[in-house]
Amino acid sequence: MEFFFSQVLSGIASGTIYACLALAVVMIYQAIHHLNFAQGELAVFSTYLAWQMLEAGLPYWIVLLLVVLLSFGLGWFLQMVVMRPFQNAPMLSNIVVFIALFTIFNSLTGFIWGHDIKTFPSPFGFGPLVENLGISRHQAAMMAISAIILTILWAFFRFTRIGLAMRGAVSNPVSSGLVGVNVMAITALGWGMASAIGAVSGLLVAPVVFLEPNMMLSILIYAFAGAVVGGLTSPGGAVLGGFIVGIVESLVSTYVPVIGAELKLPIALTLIIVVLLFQPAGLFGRRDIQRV
Amino acid sequence: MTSLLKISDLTAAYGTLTVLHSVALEMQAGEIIALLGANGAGKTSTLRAICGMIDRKGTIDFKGKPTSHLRTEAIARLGVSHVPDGRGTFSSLTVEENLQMGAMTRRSRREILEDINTWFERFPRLKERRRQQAGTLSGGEQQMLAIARAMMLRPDLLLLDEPSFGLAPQVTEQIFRTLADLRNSQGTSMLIVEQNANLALEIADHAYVIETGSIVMGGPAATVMADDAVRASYLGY
Ligand SMILES: Nc1ncnc2c1ncn2[C@@H]1O[C@H](COP(=O)(O)OP(=O)(O)O)[C@@H](O)[C@H]1O
Ligand SMILES: [Mg+2]
Repeated sequence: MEFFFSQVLSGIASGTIYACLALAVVMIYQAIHHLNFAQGELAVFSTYLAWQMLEAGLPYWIVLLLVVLLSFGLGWFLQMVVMRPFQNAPMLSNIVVFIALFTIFNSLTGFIWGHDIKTFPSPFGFGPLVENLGISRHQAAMMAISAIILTILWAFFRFTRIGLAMRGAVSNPVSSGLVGVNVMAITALGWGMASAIGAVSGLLVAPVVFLEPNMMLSILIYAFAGAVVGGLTSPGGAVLGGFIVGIVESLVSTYVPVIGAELKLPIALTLIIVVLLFQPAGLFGRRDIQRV
Repeated sequence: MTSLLKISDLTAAYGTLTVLHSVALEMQAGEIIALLGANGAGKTSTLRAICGMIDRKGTIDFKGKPTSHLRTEAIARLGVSHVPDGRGTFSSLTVEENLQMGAMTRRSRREILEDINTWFERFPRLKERRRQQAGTLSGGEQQMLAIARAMMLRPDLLLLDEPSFGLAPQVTEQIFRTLADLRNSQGTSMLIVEQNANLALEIADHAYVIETGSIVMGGPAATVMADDAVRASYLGY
């Protein structure tokens, strides 16, 4: 029982990482209704920027602030300059652009910073939070920061007019224009926010998995799984989904011997398929009901 | 006195397909104008051109200001509200949030809340369903919501695209009573597109008839109503 419990905890710990990135995925989805494959690579790029600044001797918290702002600007720029011409293009064109962005940022990161693994510091340290609990201070901080981001986001969407405008722009872009909302700017804001959240998740993940250009690849698949399990329309659901994916991953790879570490990735993909089959809106997502 | 809306030589296209040819139309503040025409004549396209939702060329002056180069959201901020073809419901938002979306261009929270309450009094069905997803409303309720949402902008000009479309006769009647009432109480100017010409001509001051993208007739509603060709084509008697 104690072993089971510690496996669940370890699942929660990795789930935190998935949850954080799943949140960024859902943000973009809220703003543009597409899953952005390039999200993880953007986050890696942001994390390398942070690494460079840390190498230059800037203090961690200044770096965090700068990187969040820069990432926000980068997301904004990508929407305004790169994605804008594709706003009325078919879904497939958007997907191709995402793949292009994915490749560009992945190669760019490798080109600038090389492919060797770098260590990345944590301001929280890796000592145990409490003796024998199996959760490090860094992992605890990740959970706390995810919870803070989530609360801010929830309040943003629930109580602010810009948050409402963002939900409205997704629900009906044409009508949003007709009531005076600048849909382009709102979408760019969504990209900016998602990139900023992605950067935070990158900075939190890097100390755990080490920094290298493909750091986010498998994590993003788990994050997608988390977002899909929780529901793409629900930021809170995405976070919970991230934890569920982390726990399922940890338990299945421990108790189903044939799976082991090598077959961990298919678990995420299986989860995505099962959820899409039986609960397409996710466990906590809202299904849009449309009456004509 | 400058006209509220003055359109001349307006051409509009979907890609390479030109659907409006040199349309001219004029209305004064406080008036209700009916735009009549058969299916596919270009009524919806005319409203879309006014709001910058499709490519257009020509002159569209609103309150004396040229607007044919502006983007949709900028035209809305000048005070043009549009109840679009298909009602334009924000289906995943609640009824109340739909009304708040309508007031996006306004600042005063207190006034917005007051207006929402006024509309809830006018349409109690919307009040009962205020926290419900707007996509779950019936067609008639969504049409009421669309009109209320458009009025939340406090527009100087309200464009309505077939407000009676797909509605039961009693609901249609209620909608048109509301429109007449709005004009009487607030002096709201309206440009109404309707297939149901009888209804539209009843409350309109002036009417225009559009055929394959060109205005073929315009004048006082009574005159248009008395025209033999109009009676045969659009009024059915
Ligand atoms: N989205 C569109 N793309 C291409 N052609 C369109 C589109 N919408 C309307 N049309 C064409 O434009 C013409 C005018 O249509 P519309 O303005 O919708 O007419 P109405 O509202 O009077 O029924 C029609 O020939 C129609 O086929
Ligand atoms: Mg039409």
